[in-house]
Amino acid sequence: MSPASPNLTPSGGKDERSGFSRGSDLAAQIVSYLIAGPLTFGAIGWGLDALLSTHFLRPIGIIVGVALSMYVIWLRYGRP
Amino acid sequence: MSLSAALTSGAVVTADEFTGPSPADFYQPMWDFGWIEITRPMLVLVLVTILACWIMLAGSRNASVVPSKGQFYFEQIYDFVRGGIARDMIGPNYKKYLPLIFGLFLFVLLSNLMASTPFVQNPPSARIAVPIAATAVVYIAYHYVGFKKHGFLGYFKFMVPAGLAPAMVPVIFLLEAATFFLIRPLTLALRLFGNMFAGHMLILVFVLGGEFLLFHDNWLFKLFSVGAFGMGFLMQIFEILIQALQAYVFALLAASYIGTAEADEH
Repeated sequence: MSPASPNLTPSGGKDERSGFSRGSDLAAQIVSYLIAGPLTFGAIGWGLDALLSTHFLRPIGIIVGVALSMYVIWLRYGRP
Repeated sequence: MSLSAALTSGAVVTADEFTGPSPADFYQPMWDFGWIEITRPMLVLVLVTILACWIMLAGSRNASVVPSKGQFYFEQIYDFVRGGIARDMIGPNYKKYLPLIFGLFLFVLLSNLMASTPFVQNPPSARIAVPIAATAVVYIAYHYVGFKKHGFLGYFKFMVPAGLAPAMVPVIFLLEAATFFLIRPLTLALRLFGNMFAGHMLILVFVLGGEFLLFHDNWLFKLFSVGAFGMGFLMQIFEILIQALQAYVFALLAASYIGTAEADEH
């Protein structure tokens, strides 16, 4: 499995960016993912709740979203 | 002019009661033509644009091997954006995007610095419309690069990281698409807006509070106003750091998004 991280190495080689640039970039990207997960799947849960007139799908969606966010972050940045 | 305008427009200072600054203080109409109102941030934006054009023209005109003082400083900033932001984030093809990144950096930097410029003291970037407009430029740019590089369907395929179980692909795709199309521009605009708005508000609180204390009947209050003004001054210095940092982060992320879209398929 090759490290699938286009965000980490846009030049396709070894990451030679300075620590601060890289850190700021990584932090911003990870925050984006952490917001995107709960928001997207929370919205889906909310929509399904409205459709099926239930109440439990939105919290489940939010929790699933957080888990998926962390999974993607691990997938993109966490592997050696 | 700026301080008195801020004082009269929003914060009402009465004998005993202090009303802090509010977002309404940022709305400062200057001329009303009926169909359009020219506000202070609009005027400051024109100033920023003229200043940015002048800096770029003056810095690059008569460019020589042995630079003049102005050219030297200009090249320092340009080098920083070129090496520290564009090349680092985009990779070998960075030159195409350098004018955009540099223009954005200079525009955001000047807009932010207007918060601490005497007699102006009003950052246009603390009005949500300005970060949104700057982000819209970045948004169009990086999606254009992505679609052009990978093709229409290829760009969507490119968003999903490799090494996923097939069952996970649609779920992760949803998440990635939300990140690419919604959350990235949202955070980019809100980060700049929030930082500039909060910073300006903080200074207003200290300066308006100091002013309230100074004009209070109680002499002890007058004494404390020194501390409030002192903090206002300190915050002003601190804000200059934040202003430069936010311009850097904005340009950095713009370059990073373009770099991601430009990256080779995995």
